[in-house]
Amino acid sequence: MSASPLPALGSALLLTLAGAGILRLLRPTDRLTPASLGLAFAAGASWLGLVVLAAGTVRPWASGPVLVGLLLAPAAAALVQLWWPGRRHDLVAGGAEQPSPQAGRLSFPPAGWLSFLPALAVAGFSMWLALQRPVWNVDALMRWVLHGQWLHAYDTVLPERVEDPSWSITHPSYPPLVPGAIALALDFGADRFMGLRPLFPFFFLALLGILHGHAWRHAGPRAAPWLTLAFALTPCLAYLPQYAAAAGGAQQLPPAAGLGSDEAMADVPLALLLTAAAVTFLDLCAAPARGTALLCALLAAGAVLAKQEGTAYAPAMLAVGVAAGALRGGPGRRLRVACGALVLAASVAAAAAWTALSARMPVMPGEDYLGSAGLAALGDNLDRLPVILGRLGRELATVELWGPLWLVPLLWLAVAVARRRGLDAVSILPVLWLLLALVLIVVAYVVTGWRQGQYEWLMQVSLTRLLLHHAPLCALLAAELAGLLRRAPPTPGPVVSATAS
Amino acid sequence: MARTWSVGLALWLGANVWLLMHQGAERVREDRAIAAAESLAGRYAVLYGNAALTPQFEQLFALRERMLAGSVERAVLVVPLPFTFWVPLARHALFPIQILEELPGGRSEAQLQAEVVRLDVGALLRFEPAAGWTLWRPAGASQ
Repeated sequence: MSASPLPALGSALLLTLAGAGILRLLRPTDRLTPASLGLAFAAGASWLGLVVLAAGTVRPWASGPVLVGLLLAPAAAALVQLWWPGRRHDLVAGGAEQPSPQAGRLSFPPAGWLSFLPALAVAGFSMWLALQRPVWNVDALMRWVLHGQWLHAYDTVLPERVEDPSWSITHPSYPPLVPGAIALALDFGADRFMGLRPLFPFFFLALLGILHGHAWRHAGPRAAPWLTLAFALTPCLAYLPQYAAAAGGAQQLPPAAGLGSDEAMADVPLALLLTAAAVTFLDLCAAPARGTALLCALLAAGAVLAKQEGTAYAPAMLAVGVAAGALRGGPGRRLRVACGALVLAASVAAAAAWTALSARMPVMPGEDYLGSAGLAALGDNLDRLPVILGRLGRELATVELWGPLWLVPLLWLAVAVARRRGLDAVSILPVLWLLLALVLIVVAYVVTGWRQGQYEWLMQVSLTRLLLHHAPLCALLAAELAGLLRRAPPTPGPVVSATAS
Repeated sequence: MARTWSVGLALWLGANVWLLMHQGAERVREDRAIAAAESLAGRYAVLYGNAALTPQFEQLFALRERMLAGSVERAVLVVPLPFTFWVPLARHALFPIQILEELPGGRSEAQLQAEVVRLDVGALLRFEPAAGWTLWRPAGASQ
């Protein structure tokens, strides 16, 4: 085993290659931008999640060489397609077919990469932090990393030996994507103490790349680097550890346990996959196309398989998206709804498959949120609401953790209402998704039976992380706010065909 | 209006940079201390804010090797309440040895023996603040 970061680096590279192959097959582009590489990493991670999910039923699939082979397969398929570049067609709005952009020589647009340098520096800082310390967060040690160790050792993330109820404390039914990434690094020889953390800043970097691309298209090339940097420096995302609370003196911060994108947790990966799915879904609404729909379906399945919150949130988010797509009129409505329905079906199928596969695994008492007991508790615990809403409000206003991030949705709404722009069903989707997220978070705390129903304690240790999954929506809104403030309405194109980023 | 947006963005960025300077510096200081600790055990000890824990981390890692050499596959942890931070670390560090159960401290030898028989495990790993980690392998254990 190696304590060097090279195995983690190799895993990240392999995920990016796999995703680049998938992207090449679904939405060809000749420009390698921060956004397209971020999407490639997200798509590769989602593909890995699906492979590990399949390994729940066909055990040998999850052995190291097979995992690597299945990750290289899309990259190889893309290479074949690159060498025999026959004309490909894609279904677009109105049902007509049109040629997809054929890639010629790959190019790195220098303006886009120069503009991404500030965000790259923050991700580099995160990597530097990751190299200093071993895995030590409780959730990372007992859940994500331990599950990765199972997968690495037993070729399945659902080994029979943890079916005993005494293993419920390690939550064996948690989804398999992040353990899959950890197992991949272990397969490459990573040290389980010092070699795994360096994998996680890549999820952060990919998230920043996607946000940079969105900002480039909506706020413009001059604003994109600074907007991405402002989001990247959000304290609880960039660096804030748990002990800042202990050292806080009179002003006690919530114990943002293990936050910071360098911890071996599933929160930043889920934020990445939800953001990638959201941006791709918005592209799909703007220009419905079969390739975009398949890519979005893959990313949505990845979000489902990244963390249990994603299992609940991603299908709900996409259902809202499909409804919004149906409400917006104009040409291509049928195709838009059909593509959206495909994406929604993929997320539901991934959630159902994982739920069925992991059903035999033990669950901690009071933490079966999606089961009948959880739903029954909703009516019984409504008296918790005032406390939960108060605590949520205080969290959103905690500048030490979030900076002014949560002001953005309010400003966006104020400007949209004042200027009477951006209020159609699709344009308002990021706000609706944010509201949906807050509702689901509140519901989770209402129904929880964690440690005999100590929901206030649970909020103290988990609320920041739950909000982190949806924080990038604020950055998307900030970029669109610039468009709202312009005199002429913005006309953005899909992410991979943007000029430089 | 575009200027309003730019000013807002500058304020957002400035606020986060200010917070980084004030809060992130603490993390950087600590990370340098962790990096300066020579061994993995030392790094964990710095993380838990107690240099006296270094030998106890070393004991735990050494016991894993002993158990693996002795073909022990399953163990029970006995950890007194104020030291439960050991539990997640031990579950991760001792893998592939399975930790079947965690027991609070303050139990007699007879009670522990009964637990070992009940759970049918090959080892009992016990933490005591004064003695650190000790491995107890009962005679006639099935593993």
